[in-house]
Amino acid sequence: MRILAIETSCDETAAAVIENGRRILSNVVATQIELHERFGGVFPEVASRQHVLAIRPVIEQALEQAGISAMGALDALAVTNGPGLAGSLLVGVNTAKGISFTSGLPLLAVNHLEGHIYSNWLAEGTAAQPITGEPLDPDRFPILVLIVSGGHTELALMTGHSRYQQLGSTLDDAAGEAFDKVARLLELGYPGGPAIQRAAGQGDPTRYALPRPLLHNRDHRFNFSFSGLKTAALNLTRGLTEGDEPITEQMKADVAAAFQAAAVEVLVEKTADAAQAFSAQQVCICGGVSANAALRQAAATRMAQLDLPLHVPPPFLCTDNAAMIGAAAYYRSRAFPHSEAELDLDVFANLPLVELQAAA
Amino acid sequence: MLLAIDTATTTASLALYDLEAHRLLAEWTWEARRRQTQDLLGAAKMLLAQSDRRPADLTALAVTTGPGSFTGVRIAISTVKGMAIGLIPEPAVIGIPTLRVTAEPWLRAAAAADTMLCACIRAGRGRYNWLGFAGRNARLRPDAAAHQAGTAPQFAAYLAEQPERAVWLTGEVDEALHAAVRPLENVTVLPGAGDWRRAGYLAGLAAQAIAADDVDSAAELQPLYLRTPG
Repeated sequence: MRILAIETSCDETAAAVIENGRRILSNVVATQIELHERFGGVFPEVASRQHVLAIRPVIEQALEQAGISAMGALDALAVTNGPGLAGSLLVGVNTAKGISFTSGLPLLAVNHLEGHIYSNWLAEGTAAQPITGEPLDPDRFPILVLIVSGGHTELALMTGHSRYQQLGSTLDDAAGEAFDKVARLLELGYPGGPAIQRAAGQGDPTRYALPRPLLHNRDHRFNFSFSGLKTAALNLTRGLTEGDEPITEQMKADVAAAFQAAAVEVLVEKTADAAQAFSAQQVCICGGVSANAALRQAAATRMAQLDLPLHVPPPFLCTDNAAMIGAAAYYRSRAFPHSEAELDLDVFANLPLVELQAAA
Repeated sequence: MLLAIDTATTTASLALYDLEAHRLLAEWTWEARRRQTQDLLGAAKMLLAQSDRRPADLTALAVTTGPGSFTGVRIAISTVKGMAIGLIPEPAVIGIPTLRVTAEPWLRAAAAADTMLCACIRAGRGRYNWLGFAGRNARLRPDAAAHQAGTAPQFAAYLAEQPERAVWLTGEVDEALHAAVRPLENVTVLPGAGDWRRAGYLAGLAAQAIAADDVDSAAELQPLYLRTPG
């Protein structure tokens, strides 16, 4: 089954062709990072405008790279319809509906968070984007999932394909949002995740002590909070120098390292706790922050101690992409054979993962 | 077979036009509010079915490019870009500015009467976008610089600055704008102009463009923005 997938939920215009949910035939992403850099974050109207410009070339490139010369060579279309920026989602959804309308191909609507989860199911990449490592067992449940990105930080238990039980989420900022904000206060640049990682590589994570929010809070065992950690990093930074004296590059690196260590420890320990509590057979980490090398290393070490198979997608599948949307659509169509979207499909800026089971 | 789509404002309109017979087959205009994404293709399906046509019969697609609601304009343009991908052979795609379509029903009569025609839409927050047309040869795609934007008093001041000729005003003339232009003796608000813009006129303009081989690139088609964000 070949699916053309489209993803425009935030600031990446992406299209991909996926075969049987596991093999990437093409995966094209047009990033808008440079456009949003001057705003220090994603500017929704700028993102929407760029999606309109990029959507057609990106889809054409994805079809060409996959060797698809006619829509008849495809079996279905898939598109992200939430959560995300409504103006951005509208471009992808209406383009996908337009293709479906004239080509007659069935359209599958995919939750962006479910897409991130299924980035772990992609087992075969392309020559330019290979996927290595032990593939995930596609049908071995339950699976403990940590979704960690700029907009989301959630722990969920996956009991079957497209079946989720939400265990916890952030009470305030998403982890990636905290990385962006701390990077901004340290003037490290945008996007914050890679900037923090780069700076932390030159720093000492033990030089400054930062809190591990909610780590041992039994009332919020599987919830997160990163707003306080961000504020602690802000107060620490302000107290490092006197008057108008700027902080040194080494101080910045040490603060970045301390912040990264605190965030990673909370993410990994809560994931490990949940995996044990729910007898997970496998653990998956996904989303933009899962590209962070310190998180990947710490998670690998911790899950190895628990003898739990850990799956984290290669970095090119951690950030927003359409390949993951195609994978999710495939497994969703298998689990729920009559789940095609109608012509009145709309977008939802807020679309909780837990609603999928009830809606299917 | 040409399908014309207009969701640039809260009014949505679709038209089906036979390019070989040069005639309008069907037109549907409705108050879409904010349901353009939900309603557009269902309405298009019904319009085609009423004329015993299928989506695969479409050889051309026309769309209003704005000004208007950013969201509404992008819904129609994104839909058209997608529809073009799904059609074999690739259809002709034509984008026409919203106010050019608004003006179309009155342009010939205005030119014959040696009268300036001004088309307008509400732009939200008490503001309007407008475009003045003088003479018979109105451009098919007026650019952003040709458009004006402002409040009702600013719009009225613009109209008052055209003293050498009469002005016909058409489009989304609401009560506030009516009140602002009422003292202007040179301005006539066209009767029955109302809020509705009809895609049949968009289809007619697109047919002219196709006849002149003046079509757009589906890849490069984008909304007509009157201002930059940020």
